[in-house]
Amino acid sequence: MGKESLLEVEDLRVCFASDGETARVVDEVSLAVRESEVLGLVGESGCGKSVTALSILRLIPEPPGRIAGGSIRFRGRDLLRLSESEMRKIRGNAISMVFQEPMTSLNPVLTCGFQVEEAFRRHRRLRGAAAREAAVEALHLVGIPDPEARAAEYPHRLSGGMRQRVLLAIALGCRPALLIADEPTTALDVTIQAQILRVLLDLKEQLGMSVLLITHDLGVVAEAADRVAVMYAGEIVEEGDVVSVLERPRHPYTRALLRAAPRADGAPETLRPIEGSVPDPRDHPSGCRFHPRCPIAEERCKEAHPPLAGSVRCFLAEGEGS
Amino acid sequence: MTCGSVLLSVRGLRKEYPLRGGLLGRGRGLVRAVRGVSFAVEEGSALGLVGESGAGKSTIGRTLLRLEEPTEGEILFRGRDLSRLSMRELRPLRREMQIVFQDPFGSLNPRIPVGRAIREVLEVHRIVRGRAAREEAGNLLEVVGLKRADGERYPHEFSAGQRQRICIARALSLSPRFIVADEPVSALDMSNQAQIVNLLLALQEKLGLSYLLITHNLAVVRQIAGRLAVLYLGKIVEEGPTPDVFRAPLHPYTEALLAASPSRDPRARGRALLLSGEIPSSLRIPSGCPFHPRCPRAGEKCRAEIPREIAPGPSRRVSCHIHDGGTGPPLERRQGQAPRGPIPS
Ligand SMILES: Nc1ncnc2c1ncn2[C@@H]1O[C@H](COP(=O)(O)OP(=O)(O)OP(=O)(O)O)[C@@H](O)[C@H]1O
Ligand SMILES: Nc1ncnc2c1ncn2[C@@H]1O[C@H](COP(=O)(O)OP(=O)(O)OP(=O)(O)O)[C@@H](O)[C@H]1O
Ligand SMILES: [Mg+2]
Ligand SMILES: [Mg+2]
Repeated sequence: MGKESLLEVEDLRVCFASDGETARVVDEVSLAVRESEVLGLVGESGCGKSVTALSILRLIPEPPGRIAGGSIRFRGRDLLRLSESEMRKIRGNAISMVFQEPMTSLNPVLTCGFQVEEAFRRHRRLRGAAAREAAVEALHLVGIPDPEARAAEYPHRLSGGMRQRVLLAIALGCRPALLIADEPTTALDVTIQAQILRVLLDLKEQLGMSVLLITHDLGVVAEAADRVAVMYAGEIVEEGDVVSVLERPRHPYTRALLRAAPRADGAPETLRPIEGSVPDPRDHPSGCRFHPRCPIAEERCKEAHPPLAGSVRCFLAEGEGS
Repeated sequence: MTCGSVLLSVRGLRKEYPLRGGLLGRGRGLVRAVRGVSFAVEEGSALGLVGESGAGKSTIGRTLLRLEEPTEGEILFRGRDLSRLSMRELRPLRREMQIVFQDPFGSLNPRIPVGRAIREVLEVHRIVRGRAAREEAGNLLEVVGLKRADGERYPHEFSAGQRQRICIARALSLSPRFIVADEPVSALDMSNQAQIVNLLLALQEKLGLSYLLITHNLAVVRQIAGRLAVLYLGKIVEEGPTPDVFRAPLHPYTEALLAASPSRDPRARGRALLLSGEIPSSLRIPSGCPFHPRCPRAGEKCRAEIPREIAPGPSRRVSCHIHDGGTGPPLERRQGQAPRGPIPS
């Protein structure tokens, strides 16, 4: 497969305790992000994408959360074995993250410009005017109009999409080797979304940055990802390069996701949501976790848990393994 | 989409924000977020409001419900001008108008379980109390695809998409007649989007609900909204029946918006990028037609004259010189120093 892996997550398990019950929210998840590669992570709401991302940076609230097993190797070092102070040196430096809900990760009492400058002061050791200039440049890069004037604004005075871009400016400011971007373009209209994706791809090309791109938008995946991992009920159910997965999905869940996505092109059809909902992580179905919603499930799917074989977790997978 | 009576009608709405002095201490600017907007929403129908990030969509939503005072303009809800009512007079009307905010986490109290949050809304407005309220809160959670038992959990215990659905449940709790839905599905995955879209449609049919649907997701607009208004730098540049606008967009900005939707074909990568030029700023609205610096079809007239609004077809309107006597000789564009960002293909 050529390129080296920058990040290798193996058999990651994350649990949350609530009312004496344990929810297995992430279950034996393995994924790899190679140097200078964009890995898309897709799946329904509540299937464990954000928890996976937060675990990589060890930002799971403990308790109630707990990383119960597995390893997360970044440049060969297992992040789960680092001390908190070593971890702090990695966060925002070699690995930075754009969180899903911008308002909760910006500080409401500091101006946006200050928060971007702070990233440059901390991670690139820029001072005074140099930090300010770099911050304005970063805001410009992510498409904030009039960045000098906007830098002086507080977060609540910006529009939803502008806040999302401020977060991205902060994350990119430290020129991370790995960017974890949790729904980085959901609040953005198509024209600006296209621009942001272009910026990410430029940084990938120019600086060799790798990206773990979490999104529910298959259009974004098609536009930006090199490879895709599909997650369901805490597990990876299919992975592969972007063209094969989108054009020849092999897992019934991936196929259902593709059918459910509304499209702006083509005629407006009635949408076909996947029947039922993501199971409660405190009570996963027996056998294949997707079987209660699967249109082709057989008897054995209810009993045995399918392994991830040839990059798909299904007894009845279509197409041959890769 | 039937020609019902007008539920909400907005005329000449403006909202300006003074810019903070800033570090540079130069003259204070003015953010002209909404610059004279008029539209109507009919009973039992949905108006889609689309436009670039920062165009003023959320600001319109908030001023409609008087969560923010409009700088100027009329907001007629069932014939009464909301912008003139006192807060007390406004209260009974608040039940009929609800908003689903763009940032779901910010609008939920982190310290109370979500079921109680919904129950409290019901009790404050004296819809039902006690057991009945608890029952109703459970029903609402089920309506949006969550479990009754989820009512016992706190907001941070949910994923982002689950929180969005909780906000929708809370907005529905008062059985409003009108909902401003600000990006109601953008935090949701495709399957949940489909569920919520179908839910909004079903409620519209069953309860005669009306919506102002703010979104950048054109596919969703197409599913739900009978009419579509396109906002650019605080002004509606085009409005019409959704299918007509999709079939034959009149404004070059609408055209660009429709063409920019990413396709789901990874082999067609990069083709979606269309608009060139700086993203405009509501601090410095360009002269003439505000879209002219990015418009591929702009002429001299576009730089100089503000286009008026014309009605080129039944129930359509557009503000563009192309449809009103032409644009004059093409603009000379400076080449070379293109900003970072979309590269015209
Ligand atoms: N702090 C917490 N306490 C208890 N349960 C939690 C907590 N955080 C997340 N969960 C649960 O873990 C599961 C996975 O959540 P996660 O946020 O990873 O979903 P997601 O895939 O990112 O979904 P979305 O697309 O909606 O953001 C959900 O069922 C959620 O309820
Ligand atoms: N409370 C406020 N104080 C000052 N300026 C504001 C305030 N709220 C919004 N603005 C400004 O008004 C303009 C329009 O913002 P608005 O939130 O309405 O945009 P939007 O169309 O909803 O964008 P998005 O798609 O990114 O959510 C922006 O320039 C924003 O910075
Ligand atoms: Mg998430
Ligand atoms: Mg908004």
